[in-house]
Amino acid sequence: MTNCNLSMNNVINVSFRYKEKYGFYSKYLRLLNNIFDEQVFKENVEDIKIILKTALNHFPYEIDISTFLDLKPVQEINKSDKDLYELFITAVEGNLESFEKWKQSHSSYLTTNSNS
Amino acid sequence: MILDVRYQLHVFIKHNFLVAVSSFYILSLLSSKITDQAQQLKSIRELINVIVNTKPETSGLRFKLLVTLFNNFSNDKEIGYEIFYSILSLADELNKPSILLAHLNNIDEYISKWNLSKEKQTKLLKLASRLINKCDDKL
Repeated sequence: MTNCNLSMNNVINVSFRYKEKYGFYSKYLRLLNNIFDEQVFKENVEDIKIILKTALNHFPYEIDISTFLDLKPVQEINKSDKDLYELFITAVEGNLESFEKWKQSHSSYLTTNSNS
Repeated sequence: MILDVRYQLHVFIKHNFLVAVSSFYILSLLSSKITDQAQQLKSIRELINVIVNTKPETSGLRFKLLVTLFNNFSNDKEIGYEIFYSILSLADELNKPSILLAHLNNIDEYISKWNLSKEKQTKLLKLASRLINKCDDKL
């Protein structure tokens, strides 16, 4: 019984933390969008990639990533990492079969530093 | 007076948690009463330096003191940003990003309130995203 409760608490805590994290990602991308230029993109491109990969790792659970596509920091990823951008489009378009197939054939591609 | 007693903070932090917090609270209140803004900024920056340069074993206390400062000065456009950036830097240095998640979700409000320049926004967002990416993100 105790173990069960602990497990449930862990699930609730981690899930809550993920939602907060996603909330930050959304704000971060929008704030970057407001001040966006070439220099801002250059300084933040690696963080943007981590955000997109993290979002794709959680897709399609609890996450609405479709609005990210309207933002310049995400659109510009197409120039820096075409594969990532195309996978993102595949996910947003809801093509789950293609998405899963691509993910399976590139098993380590979506790994980020935070996925330890 | 602030300048006279500030040096005692190092000793307080090392020896007595409650004394340190109480003393610091008084110091930050006194700082808020300084009418000369340049002098006030100087005093607050010195308080931040004391905390940031304290030994790592007092990390919990360092957070507590910085948050006390932040709660007193978060409405100040210049110093509010500097204190918040110091808190994020400390979390980054100590690898304790998750305790700041709630604060990071207010980052848009802070940026708007402090009317930050593009450079400061970029710097703050960069540090914030590094911190958030350090947090565990498993479902």
